[in-house]
Amino acid sequence: MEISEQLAAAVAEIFSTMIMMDVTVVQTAPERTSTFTDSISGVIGLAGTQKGVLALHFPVPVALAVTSSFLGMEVAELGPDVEDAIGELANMLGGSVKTMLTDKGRDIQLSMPTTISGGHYDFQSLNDALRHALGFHTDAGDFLVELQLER
Amino acid sequence: MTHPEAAELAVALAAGLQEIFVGMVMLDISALPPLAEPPRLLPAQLTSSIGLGGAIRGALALHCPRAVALSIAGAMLGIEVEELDADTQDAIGEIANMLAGHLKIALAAAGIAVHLAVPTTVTGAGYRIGGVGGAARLVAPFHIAAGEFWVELLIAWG
Repeated sequence: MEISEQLAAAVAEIFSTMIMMDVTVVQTAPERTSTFTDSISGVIGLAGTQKGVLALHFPVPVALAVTSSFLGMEVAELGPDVEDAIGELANMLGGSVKTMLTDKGRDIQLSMPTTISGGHYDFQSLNDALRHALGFHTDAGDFLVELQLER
Repeated sequence: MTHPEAAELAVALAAGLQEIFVGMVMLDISALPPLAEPPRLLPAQLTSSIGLGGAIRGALALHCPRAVALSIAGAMLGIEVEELDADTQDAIGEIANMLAGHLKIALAAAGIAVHLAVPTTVTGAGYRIGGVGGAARLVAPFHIAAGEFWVELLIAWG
């Protein structure tokens, strides 16, 4: 299976088992965008035999819905709960990516997940990378998953 | 696992940055004491981060106000730099990468094997970079003629 297909399957599985939300892939090759408005991004680095970065970009309303569903309580504003939830989501998906890229995930290490949040920011990573990006839809809105791997 | 104290890591980061500035940037730099209570949001317009994996999980970030980023990139590239463009982002990313390399060596000396991910850059204003709950957070300010900037280290010890 292609990395993109595996990524889509991993996102769907994490959302159905951990977040208890349905997601569908709406874009298999979304137009490249690096500018985000009223959003939060979860970012996790891949180190070791394969270097890269995995980023999940959520508009704030979608992040709030995801966090509320994940924690099983209403979360109405961007704060530490949302940062932790989006960071943990990046972490879980990072774990799946690790397994996709190497046999049993050996020799790839994940960094600490971090989040970027703000009214308007631009996120850039590798200039020359293999890029896999997918757009997803939830009832609360859409979000983007982007995996960049060093060549 | 016994691990270095925050103060030791701050010293290692300051020594690393000093060496990078002397060798590559050629600007005078001074280290200020790490912030006792770092604010949630640092007033930066360009942040270069790099993930750390292996025996620890962490992230190292360089937070620069616009004037500082332009001054560093200009000095490194030997040209006038006026925008937080790809050249500026590459220059600051390269410093973050080199500084992470210094940290890797310092941690290796303490028997902690760390691997580096790739640098990522955030530009904007009023954005916040967050770690995960429970992570140790060190924020060390540095000063150059163009102003102050901050090195942030987030670590979860294995």
